[in-house]
Amino acid sequence: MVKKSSGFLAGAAAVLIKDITSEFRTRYAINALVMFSLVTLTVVSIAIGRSNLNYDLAAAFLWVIIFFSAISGLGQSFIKEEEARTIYALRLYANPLAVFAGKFIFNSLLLLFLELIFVPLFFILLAVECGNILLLFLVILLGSLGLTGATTIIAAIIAKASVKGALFAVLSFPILLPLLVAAIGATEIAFSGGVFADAVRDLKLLVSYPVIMMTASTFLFEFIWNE
Amino acid sequence: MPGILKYILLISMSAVIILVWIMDPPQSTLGDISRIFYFHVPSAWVAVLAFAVGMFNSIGYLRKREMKFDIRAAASAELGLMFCILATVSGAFFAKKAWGTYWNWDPRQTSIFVLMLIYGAYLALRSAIDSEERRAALSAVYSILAFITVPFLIFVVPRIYDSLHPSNTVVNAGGKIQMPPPILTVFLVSLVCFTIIFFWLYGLQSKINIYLRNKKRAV
Amino acid sequence: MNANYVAMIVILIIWLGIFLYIFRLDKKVENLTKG
Repeated sequence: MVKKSSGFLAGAAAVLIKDITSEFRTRYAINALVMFSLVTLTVVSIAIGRSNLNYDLAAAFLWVIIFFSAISGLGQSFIKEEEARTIYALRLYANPLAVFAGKFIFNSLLLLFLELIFVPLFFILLAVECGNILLLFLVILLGSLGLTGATTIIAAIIAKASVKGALFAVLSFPILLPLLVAAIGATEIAFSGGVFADAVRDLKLLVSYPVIMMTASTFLFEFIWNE
Repeated sequence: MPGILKYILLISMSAVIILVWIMDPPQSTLGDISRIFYFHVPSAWVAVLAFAVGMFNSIGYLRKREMKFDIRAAASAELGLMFCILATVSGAFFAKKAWGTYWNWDPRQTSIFVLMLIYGAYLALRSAIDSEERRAALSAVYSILAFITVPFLIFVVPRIYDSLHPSNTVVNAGGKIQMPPPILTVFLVSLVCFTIIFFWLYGLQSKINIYLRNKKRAV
Repeated sequence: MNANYVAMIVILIIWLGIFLYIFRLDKKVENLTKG
């Protein structure tokens, strides 16, 4: 048992390191993510001009942009393996769960890196004030984990489909909707300077959503991987 | 489906239709439009039922790897989408008459809309995969994944807007049935009839597709 | 004639149409799967 679990960790780490290395070489996903969020942010910023945004509108914009950026970048994680035919090697050498864990961590790091760039820009360009930075930080962290927790397995499904197109967004949206609603609600509370107690309902969902998605994924991923 | 059941269905559904128009409307303040309740609620119920049937078939496919489960899951999704659209459209007419707008993101409207999106996504995924076995496995995984998000949806949706939906028509907050007995009887018969129609169509569609598949493989 | 009765008859006819359609489909499927 001990050997197997260390094998799992080593496998997950190997997949993660491989993905980070290849991302450093091509910078495809991060470029897509950053550019997409930048373009959307610019459009929103120009469209609203100098008028001030309400807290609820600002929170909705923040998550809509994060959602669509994630969709534009994270879908690639399995498609590129499929296209480069490296998926067969991965299937031979790695435990499916290790692959899933590696990809999940990689996608989460990617998304968090994007938000590191995007969120400060969001505040600068849209002139939104944040009353409770700590809460916002927590919401973004949990929301991103939920986002990648659900999209990683959907990306694996998409990679096997023969027509990919807009399928990733179509499949992700209904599943992510509860998470997005909770994240927008909690972000609104953070913007308006509410305390943690106000956001408990949303935070509960933001914590349980990734946990349940990850549990389901560990059961279901094998069925996709062996297809 | 046993022959006698077909005739019972024919008679009882016809009786429901006649009674719905003869009896007083279930809600006197809203008038005739509230008669839609006898058809709208059963459609929504069948849409949800079809979702559950699809998920059980998906689990069955992943466990047993028999194609008939996948064909059944697809059949229930197609029918589910149809009843979902019926429920949404009839609900929108009711909303227009009762609240003034066809659509206002009432929690029930939101949930049925998300259900429609899930059905749409599921069928889009199915049409995007060529290989039969691959399609079966991937769509089964997606259907289970979508089913898992339902509890979250129930948790999160009621907060989007305050509900205008008449939620206490069938069962009130205490769990007591509130309708007067004649209305309740007609409603329950309608519910049973819709359920039977669903399972009949579901059985037929599955049988046809299983037959077509076997024929194709035999050639 | 009362509008309600018109609606009733229209819906009744639609229902009978749907029923006949499914009924005949059922017969066809039965013949197919038997033979």
